[in-house]
Amino acid sequence: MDWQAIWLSLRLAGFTTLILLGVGLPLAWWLAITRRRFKFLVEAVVALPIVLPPTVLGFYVLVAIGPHSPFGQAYTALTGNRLPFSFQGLLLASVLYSMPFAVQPFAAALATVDRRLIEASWCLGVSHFSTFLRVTLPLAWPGILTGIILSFAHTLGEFGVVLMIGGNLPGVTRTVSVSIYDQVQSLDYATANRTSLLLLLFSFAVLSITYSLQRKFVQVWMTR
Amino acid sequence: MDDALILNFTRAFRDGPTIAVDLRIETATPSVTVLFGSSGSGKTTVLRTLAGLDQLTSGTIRFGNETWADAAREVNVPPQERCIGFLFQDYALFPHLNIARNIHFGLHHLPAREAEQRVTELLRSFHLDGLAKRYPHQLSGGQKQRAALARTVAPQPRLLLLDEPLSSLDAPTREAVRGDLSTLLRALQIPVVIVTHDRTEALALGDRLAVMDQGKILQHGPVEEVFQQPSDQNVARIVGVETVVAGHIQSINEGMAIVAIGNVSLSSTASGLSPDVTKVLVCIRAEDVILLKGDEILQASPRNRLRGIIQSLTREGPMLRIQIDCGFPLSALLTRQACEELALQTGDSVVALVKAPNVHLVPRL
Repeated sequence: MDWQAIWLSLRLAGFTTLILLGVGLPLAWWLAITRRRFKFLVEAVVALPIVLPPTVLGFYVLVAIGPHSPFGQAYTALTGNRLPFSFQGLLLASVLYSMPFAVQPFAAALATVDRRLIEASWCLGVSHFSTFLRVTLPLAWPGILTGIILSFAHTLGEFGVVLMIGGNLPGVTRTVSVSIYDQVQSLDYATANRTSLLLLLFSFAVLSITYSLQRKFVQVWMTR
Repeated sequence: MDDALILNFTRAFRDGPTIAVDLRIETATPSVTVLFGSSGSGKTTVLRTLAGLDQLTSGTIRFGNETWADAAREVNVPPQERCIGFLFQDYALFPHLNIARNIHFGLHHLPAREAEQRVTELLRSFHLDGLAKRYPHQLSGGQKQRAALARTVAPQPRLLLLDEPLSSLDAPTREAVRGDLSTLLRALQIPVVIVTHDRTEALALGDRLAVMDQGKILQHGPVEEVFQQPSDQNVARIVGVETVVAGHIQSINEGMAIVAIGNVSLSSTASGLSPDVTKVLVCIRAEDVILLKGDEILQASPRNRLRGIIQSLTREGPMLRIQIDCGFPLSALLTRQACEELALQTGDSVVALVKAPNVHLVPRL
């Protein structure tokens, strides 16, 4: 089995999820409470990767980070490296690609938190930020957990975007899905089967745990 | 410096009535002000703007020498900095925290030791010992109410705001909790504003009453005065045409209480009245008063016969409202036909009959 690819995929999914927590939570919070008219535009942009073919997303990201784009040039000037066909470039694309799988559950969970609980906290002299940490987050936790798991699992399985902007560099951009593709191309069905089975079992286990946890939490909170 | 809470503002809604409030609440001696009105009259909005949870459209809110909100200068002090206590209608206890943690929630500015101590004290004084580790969903309605109150007063607010504090309780619990709440509010020694649509609650808890209708305050004054002398028909309709006077319980015997109002004694059924109550508000609905002319002597069942002089007669739709001085001001509501048959006029002496069950007693502290 291509352990290097598996390890790379896990790293990619882990970092992507971390970044999505940092970026996605504030964005989801804004989506949950805002009354601005252009909210629907932001929602549509966030949801785009669900319907867009990964090749289309990958193509535009590639153009956007390429050496001829201002962004690509700025990155090269700043770090001396290039984004396309690098782990960092792949990470950026993954964050965009998995965005809806984090932000949508986050926003849904945050929106269900009773507004009066938040106001009660404010009236007790607790700041907006502390209220978010002490009231909103704990109560929205099941939905946030779902978002974390889904974005992790989704990144783990991405293929099209990786091919478009990551290529197939062992240890840098060759993820487990690309590795399986390679194994099938070289008619190594046995290895492809083992790797696929591992991925299948892993995904199934993760999702089972999520849903069972979620049911437990949701039921407990519903009765309160 | 002004020892008062001064509200002078409007709050407009896109599709609803505009709330326009002009109210001054003296705070030098702490008192309980009741905002009274039907649902939709805007009283909860007033409470929320006081807390800083809703914005003003125009005008100001001042507390002492602080400006809490000033629409013209775009000042709106956030709720965190107003040092208020807000009790929500359904209590809004944090479902993920146990009762001790709920009470502890607003004490983050205290050293850990002191905060723990305060929580323990509050658990004891609110009769919540043994419930510290319970979660809100494991409490009864009355316990939830006490826990929420304990949490609200824990940070020692300067102003207490209660939104329908008893409305989510069932009737028997409400009776019991009302007395406790009344005691507590007086013990706190801070100004309190209560929103309610329940007349008994207003009478039992309030020192002063502000009657609200369609976003405006129609009348503001001592509770008894507002009930006794509604400034217009609207207020009378909202508070109900009632005689409300202060009285003392003289004796309670076999379910009958004798209550003294000045020199006059009245009988009342004392159901649900605890034996240690002495001060009460005596309430008699004007519809429940029967009038007899002059010195007519009649065998009649009502326990209470009161001799009095008619002070005034006022038309109220098909009815006539009659003010009688019978040692205390008594209000009666008769049909115009009945008045014509009796040929009642100002200055006539009459006998007013009131059945004992129609004399309602509301305990006061």
